[in-house]
Amino acid sequence: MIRCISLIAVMCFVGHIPFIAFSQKVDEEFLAKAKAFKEEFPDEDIVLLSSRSQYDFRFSKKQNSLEVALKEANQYLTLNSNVEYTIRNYYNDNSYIESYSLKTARGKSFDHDKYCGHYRQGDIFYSDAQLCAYHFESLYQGRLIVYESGKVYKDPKYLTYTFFHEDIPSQKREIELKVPDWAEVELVERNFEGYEIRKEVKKSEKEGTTSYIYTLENVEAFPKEDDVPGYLHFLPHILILTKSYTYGGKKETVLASTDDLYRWYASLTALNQVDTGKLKAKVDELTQGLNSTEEKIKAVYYWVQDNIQYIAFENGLAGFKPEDSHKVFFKRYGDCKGMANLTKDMLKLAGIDARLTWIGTSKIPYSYDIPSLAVDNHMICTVIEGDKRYILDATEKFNPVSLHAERIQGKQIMIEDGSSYLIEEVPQEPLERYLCKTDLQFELADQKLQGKGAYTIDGEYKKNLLNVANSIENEKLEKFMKSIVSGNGNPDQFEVSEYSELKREQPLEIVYRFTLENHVNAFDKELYLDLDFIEEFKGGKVKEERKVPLDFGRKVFRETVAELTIPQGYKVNYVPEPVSVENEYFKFDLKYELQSGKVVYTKEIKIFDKLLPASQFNAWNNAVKKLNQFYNDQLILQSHE
Amino acid sequence: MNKKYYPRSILFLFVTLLYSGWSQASGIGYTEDGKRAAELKQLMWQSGDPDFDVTEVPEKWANKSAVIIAKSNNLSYRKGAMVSRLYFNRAIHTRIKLQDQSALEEYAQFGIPENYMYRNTEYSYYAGFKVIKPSGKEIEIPLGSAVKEERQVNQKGFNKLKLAIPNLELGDILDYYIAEEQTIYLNQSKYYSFDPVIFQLHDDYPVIKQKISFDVLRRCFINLKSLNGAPDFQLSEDAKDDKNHYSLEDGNRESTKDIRWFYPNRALPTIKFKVTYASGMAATATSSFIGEPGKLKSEVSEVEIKNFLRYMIKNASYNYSSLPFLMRDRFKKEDPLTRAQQAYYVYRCFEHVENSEVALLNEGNPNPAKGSFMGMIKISDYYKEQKIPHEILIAVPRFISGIDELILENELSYLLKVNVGDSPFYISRFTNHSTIGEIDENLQGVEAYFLDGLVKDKKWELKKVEIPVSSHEENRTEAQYTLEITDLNEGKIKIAVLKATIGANRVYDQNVLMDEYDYIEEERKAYKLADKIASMKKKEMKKYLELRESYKANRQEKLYERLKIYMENNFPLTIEEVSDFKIENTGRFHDKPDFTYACNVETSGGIKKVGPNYLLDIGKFIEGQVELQQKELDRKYDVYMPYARSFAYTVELKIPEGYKVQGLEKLKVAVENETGGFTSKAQIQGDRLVITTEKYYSSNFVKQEKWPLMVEFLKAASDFNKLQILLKRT
Repeated sequence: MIRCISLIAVMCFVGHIPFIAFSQKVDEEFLAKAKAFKEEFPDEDIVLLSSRSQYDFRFSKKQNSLEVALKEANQYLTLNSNVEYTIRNYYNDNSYIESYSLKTARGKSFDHDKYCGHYRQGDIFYSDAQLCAYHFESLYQGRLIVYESGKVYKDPKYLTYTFFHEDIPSQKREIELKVPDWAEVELVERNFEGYEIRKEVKKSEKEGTTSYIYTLENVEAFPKEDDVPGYLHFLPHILILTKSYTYGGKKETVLASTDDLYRWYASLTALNQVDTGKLKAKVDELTQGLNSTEEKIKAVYYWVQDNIQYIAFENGLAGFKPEDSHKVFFKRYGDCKGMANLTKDMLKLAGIDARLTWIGTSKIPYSYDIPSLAVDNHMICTVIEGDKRYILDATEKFNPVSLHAERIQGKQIMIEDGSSYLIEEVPQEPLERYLCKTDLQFELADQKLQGKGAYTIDGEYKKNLLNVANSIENEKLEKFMKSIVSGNGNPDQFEVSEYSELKREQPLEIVYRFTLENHVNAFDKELYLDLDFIEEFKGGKVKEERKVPLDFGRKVFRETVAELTIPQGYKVNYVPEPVSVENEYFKFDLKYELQSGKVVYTKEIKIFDKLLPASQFNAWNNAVKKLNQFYNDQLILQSHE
Repeated sequence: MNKKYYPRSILFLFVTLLYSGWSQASGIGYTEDGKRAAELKQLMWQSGDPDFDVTEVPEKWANKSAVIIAKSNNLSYRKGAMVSRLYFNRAIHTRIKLQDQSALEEYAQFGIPENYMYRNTEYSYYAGFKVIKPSGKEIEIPLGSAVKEERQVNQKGFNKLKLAIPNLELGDILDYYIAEEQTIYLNQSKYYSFDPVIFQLHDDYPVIKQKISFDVLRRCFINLKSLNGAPDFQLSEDAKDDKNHYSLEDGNRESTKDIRWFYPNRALPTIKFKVTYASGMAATATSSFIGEPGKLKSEVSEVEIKNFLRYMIKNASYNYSSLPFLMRDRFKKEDPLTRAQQAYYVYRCFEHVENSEVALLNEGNPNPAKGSFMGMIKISDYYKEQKIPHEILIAVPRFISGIDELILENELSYLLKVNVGDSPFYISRFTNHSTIGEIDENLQGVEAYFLDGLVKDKKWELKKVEIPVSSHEENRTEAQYTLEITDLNEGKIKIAVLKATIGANRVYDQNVLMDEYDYIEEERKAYKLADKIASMKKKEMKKYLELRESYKANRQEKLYERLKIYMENNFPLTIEEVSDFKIENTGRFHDKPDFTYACNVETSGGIKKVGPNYLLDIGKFIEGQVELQQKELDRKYDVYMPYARSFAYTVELKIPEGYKVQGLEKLKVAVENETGGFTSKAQIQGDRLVITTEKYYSSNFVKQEKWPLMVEFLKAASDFNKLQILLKRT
């Protein structure tokens, strides 16, 4: 985490430099515009009056290949005084920034600070991803700042898509792609529905080019909500598929087909060396005495999960080429590709047909019919045994061999097959695999609810919990278990009697006792209480203004059965009305019933799909409202006395 | 633009990063000086120290995340012969056994800056890492496998190297060292004060053995103090190399972290020290707490304190003070008590408030907490001129140590006690809103030196006195919350808030809920404070007038954003909306010390419908209370709180028609003891339920053995937070 903190700190530092640019002046026209925009975007400090990205495909004589020059021209308008803003310009080993400028509306240079260097990209330890951040501060409302930059993509296959949205709203967003007649570039328009995107095609006979100009007005900023699926799922964007070009009579293929994509991937994996020495000894040790293929797969797959830390170096080609398996084995760390390659080589040494496999996780909505590096972002390993497939993702700690992680379910995979490849699909896991079940026995004593419970957890949630349990400090494990069963971070009213071993192939079982303080209210001769101390999705209401889909992270199947023995001298005066809501995305079924001296509470919650589309928000919020009414309601017991 | 300060910030950032990480595994080493790297490697790994050969950890720590088997801190302060250069080296050598996955992940990755130069100092870094397997096999990690992360700020490079430790597994021992070496170019300077160092002997992980040692050129000056049972340093002289070697050995320390109301420097074994280089002449010319060259100094005498104060006052006197002039113009004829009091407010007005609007408009801090020294001196000077009796008090803040443990000049804080009228008053805080009579909470209850402010410095006599502790009544919050149920079924309740805070309790509220435009007029009126912007030159004035207009255009919106967050932090309820905010009193003067405001808060989530009735979370309307966790109930250390304080709430609920209230008896609570208390009363008055609660912390300090008493009233208050009443349909 040190790395991340340091970079953020640098950026914070860059972001808090007080300076006064005395020469700033404001045009009345821009001031009026700023005031108008402020009405429209009250939460924004700055907007883009216009944002233009012009991609120019051209031949580089220096590199003797096709390259893409990107020219950006943005006009920023400050809506408040004392606005600070940072423009970020990203580059890596395959691209470079040619030039940039920040100017006032009158063309004078605008004072700013500049940070250039590496930045933290997700959980990647080290990569070639870098940025230049231009930080400026404007004292005045209605200040216009003109930014221009030139960037070059040295290899067009790394230019995969472009969005219309940016991190602040834009009054006018224009994307132009100028393609010479000698280059074959396909533009695929995605998620354009619902947006008034104008498209203009201009041919220039003189230049021998075709320009595709897309314009969208009044573009909102990238969504700021939590639990958002990958933007590619729902924001309009243009996929840029550079297929080939013919220059000087010579045709060069970039990525014209899935075959090309695989060919390039395979050319990288072909560079991998296999040093079987120590690998073989470990494989023999792990598989000694094991007869079936599945046993051997488990032995190797689980060993890699448990012993190889996820530390990713993704600079240059290392972003695409797996590290040699013996190196990963020695270092005991690697990225997804390194782990997949180690798993594959170890399994092969065990005599199993294991293959490297490319996949795009659920963040990416594409399939392999699109020849683009944007299609995938992950590598796993597939074992082929006749018609049976074992799809092994060693980065998924505590994942059993029989379960596919949520993020890869239903996704296409590209499995290496010599000079060819297989396109298959990761199966969806049935909801039954996600069952988390709680049995509770309640008693009332001294107006306190106490009792015992047993919580059986399986599926994706269990995998995640085991992963966390394994990575927290030993001393905190007991409290962690209590947090799981109590559903909150202050679980002192719970005592865990026992929990099963942290094993991936069996459900996690936690047996516990509890005494709930302040959970029973006595009024006159009545006791008010409920039998739910977790109340899943109680705060699940989606904000009315939300427009982007909601990502639950995983499917959910939750069952609870709770029994309260009605204490002597009491009768049940009131039970809450049951709630039952079901559609294709979710199901809530909760009720109290009276059964021979007991109150039985049953709860069934199902989330059938990890993504909830915006069209379902109304139905969802109505369901959550009913759910809350139920949770808020209480049993009433009345004393006979 | 303030660009000249960037590198310093960066330096601070990196050094902080490096040092803060030394106890938590951050930082790798890198150097271009192979010879020095080899020397250090030998020094660290071939020292023959048996503590660094240990591979086993005591059984009692078998379940700990990690155990520090041995740790050594080696510091060296030298001056080059015949050249004006100082050398400061610091090497930390750690041998740690990694016993769970969290420790493994914590120690798997390191990062450190590359060598660089900033101003007059060169910084070089060295490091080494080796993994010791349970079999005893040692694997040295080649530093060549580190990768460089490039960073440039305005064309100046601050690169960082990153290393992932290969082949690291559970049960392994990581043995590593990190060294920072500084070369300081003195130029003409004959005096240099190295940064003070504070060592805590406890760490996040238990420590089996540790050593701290430092070599100091015998001509250097060392101030050092071992506190709270930390062992003393042993001296060995090295006449040949003209240096003294001090070392300390320690061990068997449990891990400590995440403790509530805790001052580690007061409770844990701690060592603080500072080294100063000064030529003979510079040492005499500068009045500081340095002793004799080469000799460890652990006490500061009264004479030294007087000399230091004299030196400071003399230096401060070079700054012109407009206070006498301002006072003559405004309070010339008033009685001494009024003049004594108003001198403070006039100083506050013209030294603090006057500049705050411009700071606010520039997005700076309009109300910085400045040091007390200059204010104290300037006001004391005025009192001297006016022959107003007063004392100057000198103390060490309570979170550092007691006055007898004073060892460094920058530990000192100052205050005035003014002896006019029937009862003396103190002057201690200097902010836009501070008043006379307030004593910095960090100085309350500490022993201080005092001297007569009217006596000439040659006749100063230092005496000791204990600075008073404010009572919980002096730091008080009184809130009147009138609840109106606006929608029973939606669970919406409107709170009409009227809240007054005084003493230290008001400081946060003032800073969050009030800005310059709330009080600038009262200052202008009281002290003839001119509009600073109106007196600016035309171009600048135009700029600030525009900024003022722009600020005021958004002022209301920003205030309500802050107010909503403030309410969300206070009430364990959903805050839907805040409105009608009004400041009733700014709380900026001792005779009207309360910061009082009113507003309306719309909440939800406080009502549950049960059949025909409603449960109301009435306990939540006394704001969130401290919730102790099980592990906190058993406490090993004394309780250091910021100050004694009290909170009184009156919650008045208009009972909806057709309902009666049940559950009143639970709202009557009384838990009081010598450490504090929580009491509550409830009664029906007509169509209203009226609840009054009072929570107070008697003192700013509670001995560890009295902690269970605190737990009693804290628990009573947190239990109250969860209480519900029933609105039963009649």
